[in-house]
Amino acid sequence: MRQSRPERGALLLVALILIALGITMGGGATALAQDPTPVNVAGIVVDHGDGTVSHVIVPFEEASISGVELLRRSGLPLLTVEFGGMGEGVCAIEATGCDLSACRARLCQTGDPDSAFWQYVQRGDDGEWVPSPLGASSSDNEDGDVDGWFWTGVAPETPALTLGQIAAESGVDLETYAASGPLPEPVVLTTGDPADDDALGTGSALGGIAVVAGIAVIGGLLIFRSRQAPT
Amino acid sequence: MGADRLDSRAWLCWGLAAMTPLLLGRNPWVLGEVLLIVAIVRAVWRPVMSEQGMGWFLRIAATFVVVGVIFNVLTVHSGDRVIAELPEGWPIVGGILTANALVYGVLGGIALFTLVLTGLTIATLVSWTDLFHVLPRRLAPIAVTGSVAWAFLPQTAVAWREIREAQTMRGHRFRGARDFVPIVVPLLAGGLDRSLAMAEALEARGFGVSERMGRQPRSRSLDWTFAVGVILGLGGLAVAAYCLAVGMMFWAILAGVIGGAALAVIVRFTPAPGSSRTRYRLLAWRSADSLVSVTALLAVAVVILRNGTSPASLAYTTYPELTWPSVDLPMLLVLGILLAPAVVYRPAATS
Repeated sequence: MRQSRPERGALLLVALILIALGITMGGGATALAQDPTPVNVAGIVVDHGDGTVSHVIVPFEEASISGVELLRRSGLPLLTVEFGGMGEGVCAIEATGCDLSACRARLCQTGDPDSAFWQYVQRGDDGEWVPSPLGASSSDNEDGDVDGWFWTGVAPETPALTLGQIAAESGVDLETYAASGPLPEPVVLTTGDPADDDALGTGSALGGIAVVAGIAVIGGLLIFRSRQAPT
Repeated sequence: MGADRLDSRAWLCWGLAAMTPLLLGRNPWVLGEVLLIVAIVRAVWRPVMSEQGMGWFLRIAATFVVVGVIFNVLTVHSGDRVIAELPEGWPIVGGILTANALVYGVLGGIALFTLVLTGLTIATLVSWTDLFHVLPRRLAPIAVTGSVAWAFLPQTAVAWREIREAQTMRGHRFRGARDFVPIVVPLLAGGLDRSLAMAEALEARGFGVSERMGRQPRSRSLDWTFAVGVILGLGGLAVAAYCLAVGMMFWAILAGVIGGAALAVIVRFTPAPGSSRTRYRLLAWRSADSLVSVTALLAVAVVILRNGTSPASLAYTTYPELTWPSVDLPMLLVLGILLAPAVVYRPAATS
């Protein structure tokens, strides 16, 4: 059955209206998706054990994330190793820690039970640092929580900070920060001077090259001499 | 001062000094210098080295180095210098591939290769007969057992090559795994023959003979003293080496002293079994031996001291950030004295 021209025109009009409605509703949905979702904020205290302490404010959108994930999202240089079902172990944060072999063996500890490693603690309800029994891979961090990472072999002695204290120390207004975008960048504030217990000549690379080159020259002469027939 | 041969004890001291920094850290400056020194010493002493059957050790070490680097790059997904990325869904290898892991793998490979190179140099320059004769008689059984075990791999390598050449002369061609059966079977049979011949030779020389068959009856307490002393001595030295590696200096010294004292006690106070040993040519300790030994022990002492007082002299890690390694110029200069064996070498005059 052929449709008449007015009927086709009416159908086209209805289709256009439906398309327009769809676009409008879709745009509304998009606009709805772009509504700022509530941003959760947690804090981290990283004590390097050499006088340097980093305070970090980390935003996240999930209801809760693990301690390792929170640390990873802080943007601090991080080295971890996987221990299968036991989760991840933290070997180094920034320049503090150990290399992979020592980390895989004993999580940076030597045979000395008091030797340093990256201890993971969480701020408890009573304002004290509380060790996490399941480790950083299985812990839960919600809005307002604070994690602590301490490079030490004994229990952390510094008082546990609240997120508000960390924000105040970092000069961050938490309400403004949480509303500053879809997901604001983490804020890191490092204080203290590292103890200069290893004053090597880091700028003496030329000296190192000179020593190795000198040994190569002397070695070449010794090899040449060894090939000469004895008199 | 020059010499065309060095005492085996001097070579052992030098080997210990060359291996110690490799075992304690991964500082590229130290690794490069020690590798250079070992290569120079090998090149200088090559005319008197007998490396028959040893080359395949280096090939295996080189293979392990390459495999180690690839494994490290594919399995360690940490570092600040990302060079590629594999899908996260891939098991084990999925994730970022970093230059940090590449550099760390290369450094580990250099350390491993240098250790093997040093061990091969020592193995080819040391006279096991001389070492056997300078050991206390009480430790002769341990020395014989150790020398037999040490000679196993080189002898097997020589036998492998001889069998392969013989089969090649018969027209055998090696194209796959199945073609190695004509080599493996004679190799196993030859190994059994050699072990039987070795057992007969040791038996004929009275190895392991019971003291009760000798002239003097032997007390059971001395047997127990010897057994406990050997276990305590070797165990103490092993614990000392471990404690030294993990930085527990006090326990390392304590275990070393206990182990050394236990060995000294059994050597001094328990009578040696079997007949006395004689030697046609006496060993001579020369000034070149003293120079090499003293410089080697000095280098070991400095390395251990610096490792305790300034770990960055030896330690280096590429994680989590790839940084320029520290340079400890005094220690690099001290390590240079490990060139002493090359300095004292003088080729023997030929008629």
